[in-house]
Amino acid sequence: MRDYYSYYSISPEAREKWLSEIIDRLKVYDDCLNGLKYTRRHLKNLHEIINAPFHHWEGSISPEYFKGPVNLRNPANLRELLSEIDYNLGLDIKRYKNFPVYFLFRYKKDSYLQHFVLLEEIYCSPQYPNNDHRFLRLRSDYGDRIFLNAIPYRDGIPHLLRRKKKKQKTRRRIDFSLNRIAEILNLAWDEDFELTRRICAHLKIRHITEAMELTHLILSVQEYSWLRERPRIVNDFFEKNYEHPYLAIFLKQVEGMDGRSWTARVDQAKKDYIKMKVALSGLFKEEVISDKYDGSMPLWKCLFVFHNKSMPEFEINEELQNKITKLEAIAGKVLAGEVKSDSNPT
Amino acid sequence: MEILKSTYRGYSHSYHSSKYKKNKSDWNGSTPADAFRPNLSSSYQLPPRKKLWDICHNMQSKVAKYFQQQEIKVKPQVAHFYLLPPVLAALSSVGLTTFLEAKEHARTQKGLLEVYSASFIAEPQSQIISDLPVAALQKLAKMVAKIIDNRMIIQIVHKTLGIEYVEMYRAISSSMIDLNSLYSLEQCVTLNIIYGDILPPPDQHSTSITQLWKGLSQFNQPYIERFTTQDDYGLLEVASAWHVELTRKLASYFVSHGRGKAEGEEANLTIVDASIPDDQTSPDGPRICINNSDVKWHEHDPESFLAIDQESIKGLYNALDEESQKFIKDLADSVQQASGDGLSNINAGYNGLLDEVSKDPWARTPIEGTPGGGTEVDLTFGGHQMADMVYDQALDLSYDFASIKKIKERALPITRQLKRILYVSPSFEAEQILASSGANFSAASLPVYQVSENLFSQNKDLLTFGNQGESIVVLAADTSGSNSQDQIDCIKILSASWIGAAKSKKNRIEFLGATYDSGSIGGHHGTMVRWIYNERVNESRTLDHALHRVDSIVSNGGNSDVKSWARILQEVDSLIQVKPRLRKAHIYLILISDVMFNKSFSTTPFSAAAEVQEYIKSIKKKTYKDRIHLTLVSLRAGQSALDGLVDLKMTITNNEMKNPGQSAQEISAFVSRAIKQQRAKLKT
Repeated sequence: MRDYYSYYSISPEAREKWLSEIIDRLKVYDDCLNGLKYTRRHLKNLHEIINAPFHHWEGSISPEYFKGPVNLRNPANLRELLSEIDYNLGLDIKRYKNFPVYFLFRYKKDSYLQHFVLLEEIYCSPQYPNNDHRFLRLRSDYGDRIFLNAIPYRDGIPHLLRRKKKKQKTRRRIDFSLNRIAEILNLAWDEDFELTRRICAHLKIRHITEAMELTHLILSVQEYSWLRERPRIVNDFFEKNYEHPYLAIFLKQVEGMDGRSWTARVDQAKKDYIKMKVALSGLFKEEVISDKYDGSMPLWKCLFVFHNKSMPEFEINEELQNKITKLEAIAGKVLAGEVKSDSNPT
Repeated sequence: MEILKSTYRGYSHSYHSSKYKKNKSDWNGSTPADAFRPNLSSSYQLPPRKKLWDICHNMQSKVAKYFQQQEIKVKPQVAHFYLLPPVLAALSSVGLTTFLEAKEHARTQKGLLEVYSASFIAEPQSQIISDLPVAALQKLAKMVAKIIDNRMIIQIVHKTLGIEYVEMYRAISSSMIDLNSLYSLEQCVTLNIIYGDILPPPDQHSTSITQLWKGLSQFNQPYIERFTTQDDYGLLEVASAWHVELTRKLASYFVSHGRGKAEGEEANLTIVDASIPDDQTSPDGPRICINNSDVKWHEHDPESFLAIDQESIKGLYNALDEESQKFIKDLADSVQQASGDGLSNINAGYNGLLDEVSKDPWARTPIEGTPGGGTEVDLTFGGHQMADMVYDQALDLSYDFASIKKIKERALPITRQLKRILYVSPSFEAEQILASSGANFSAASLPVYQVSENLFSQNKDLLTFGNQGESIVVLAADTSGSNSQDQIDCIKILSASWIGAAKSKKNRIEFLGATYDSGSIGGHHGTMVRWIYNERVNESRTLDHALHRVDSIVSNGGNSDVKSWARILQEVDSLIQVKPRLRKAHIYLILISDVMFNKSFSTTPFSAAAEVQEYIKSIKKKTYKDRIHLTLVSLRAGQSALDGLVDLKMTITNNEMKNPGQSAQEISAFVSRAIKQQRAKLKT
């Protein structure tokens, strides 16, 4: 029976079994939801899946520990059970056409970082919305929190590991590496820049994302010497797996930097940041035309309307093209200044 | 040494402490978007929250002025912070608040559409030839008027007043709407009029609804275009014409499909079939959609789509047999509970809140802000930083002279004893000194000029460590609901006696007195500090009036101890700023409490007892050091969390409480012991 130290007293294999029961149930539920026809038989089936209790934990945990049955109908109990399996597991529930859809994930809470880090997707319903964004607002044990999404980079990590060990250990090593990478990403990525980044990617504006990330990294680091203390795998990741090479080049440059040149970088970054913001706001005032609606609309309005949907294709007129070119030039300059100019620190 | 080696994969402790990310507000300043950002602590959230309230207030006053009124009627709407990215949420919050403010004022104004078209709404059949029954026509006319009203208000706020936030909110709120799950005519018309020009038509819906949407868009477009070019007066004319025409158009739609004939008043609410189909009989039968225990029917047939509203759903549900009703109810409950995160309270979680907000994006949201009134209290103790609002109020003046006299009489023995005791503080001679720069400075004005550390240290030479300086006596009484009437009476008498002592000219005392509990002021609910005597807060400044206020003390609400003490001491700090002669004065803090402490900050891991202990430790060690003397007057026998931490503890037993005057000697003995302790500190 469960006691205070139950987390340590129950074997990992047993806990793995509890988890697989939950995942199987979620799969069955989603299959049922996909083929739902709103007939008596289908609805009854759905009702049964939602109300059917989980069994594998029985005998290990006292039933008094939960308030009521442990099933999909009681998300609170389900989360309790998940925390018994692994205290880093999280379950987020959103709605799709009035029915719940699930996202089961493993995360890491690091009190030194601003965001929690999403490490692994364990199960995700097909209809779960927007789980590919860089920042996700999800339910954790601490209430609603913003998570930094490192899951897309997980697949690339095993190739960067040198020696292959046992499966269990490899998983831990991937977690460790991913968390180290997320430490840098936490500094480089900006939650408020996300929407702008997406529309820039849609309009295929070059350099701006890289320049913003680099500037944000320089401005957010508390002690620059910290950037030098990083494992090999972080270097490898930014060289081989990350979207653009500038962070890797910059991180290499930091090693030969002294305090004075770092301070100069920070001062320059502040100016660059403002410059880029002004250029961006100029861009957003431009009118764009699309097939999806009649007439033209300012770009900022498009961003607001389609911020959680896929963006329509725009006709890029001459004025907008000029602004884009100008912005690219500014961003290119910023990148050149931040990455290359300081190669010989004196 | 092996044991000193770091155990964490070779990284030193300094590695972890230095990886702490600076918040963006550290180098970029805070913006209203940070007001409710979940990953920031409350001390980071409060300044931007104030900025947000300010922007909302400015926009609301602009709107109120337009409607020739002054009163602000709506609180800031903040539910969007729980649903959208922070930047969009901040814009939405201001936009919706401004719109609702305008709507509230417009409701009272003549000339607005619903009032203007009252005659048409009352007798629509006079202008529309239709087969629909009169009641249904009226209903339709009223519905259309309501929707066009909203559109007109958006137009006024955006165009006439030039407030862009409303237009921004229109764009942002459109993203929360799923056009592919439209279920009623009203919803379809509302969304089309408000969002028709910015949203693309639904594509996954049945063709009839897409056609309806396109038809409405085509019909509404000229009116919307005319809307944007008209001034205020022309606006109403266009709206009025639009109202009549749109009602006519919708009515014709019903008629063209042969609805509403010979079925009485409820004609437009009937529905085709009311049973859950079995698989064999009709596999593609009517669909059931479950949402918050309602059962809603979708049909590919446009007629039934138009006919559906809440009443028809109820009728449909009632038409089912008992077993089916039970099943549907349980299914709806299951689905609702499975997707909920505790739907009953305000922390409804994403899903519950999204339902509420997207149902009508232009209505009040379930979560509203509480701006103004309060004072922010920032604290750091026990390794945690925290902040919250505390509301201030002066206690009411009582004019029950008999009662005041009685309190005075009962307090007299203690007052007499206390008057004999001289409070000690280092004396401070305010003379002009020659500062290092060669300029003359008045010592009293030094803090005003915010002098450097250098100059200030020179000033220290002027202190002579005698014991005749001015002292600050601060009385903080817990008047929460857990106090009995006897305890409240005792608080009154003790307060009155210290006020009496403060009146003595022999004693050089600055007196501050307050009670604390919780309550509401100006629509804001929270921790209240009610001042008995504070020159800055109370209008009447004499200690005589403080006695009048003491009489109106009642037990009320709950006590948030640390928060209230911090607020009271904040006031001591500002008193010292105003009166520089007090800057070395000793502070005698007298806490009158039933020693049942409550937790003030939910974000810290401390229990209630640990919280008060940590706070008292921090003010004794860091904030005031030797300058503070703490006396706990416990109104309950037994141990308390502060035992050993306060300098003196005085327990008033139940018997003494009924007549505290009898134990005047003992109280004065305690107080004089306090003075002795402080004097000893002074000498060292």
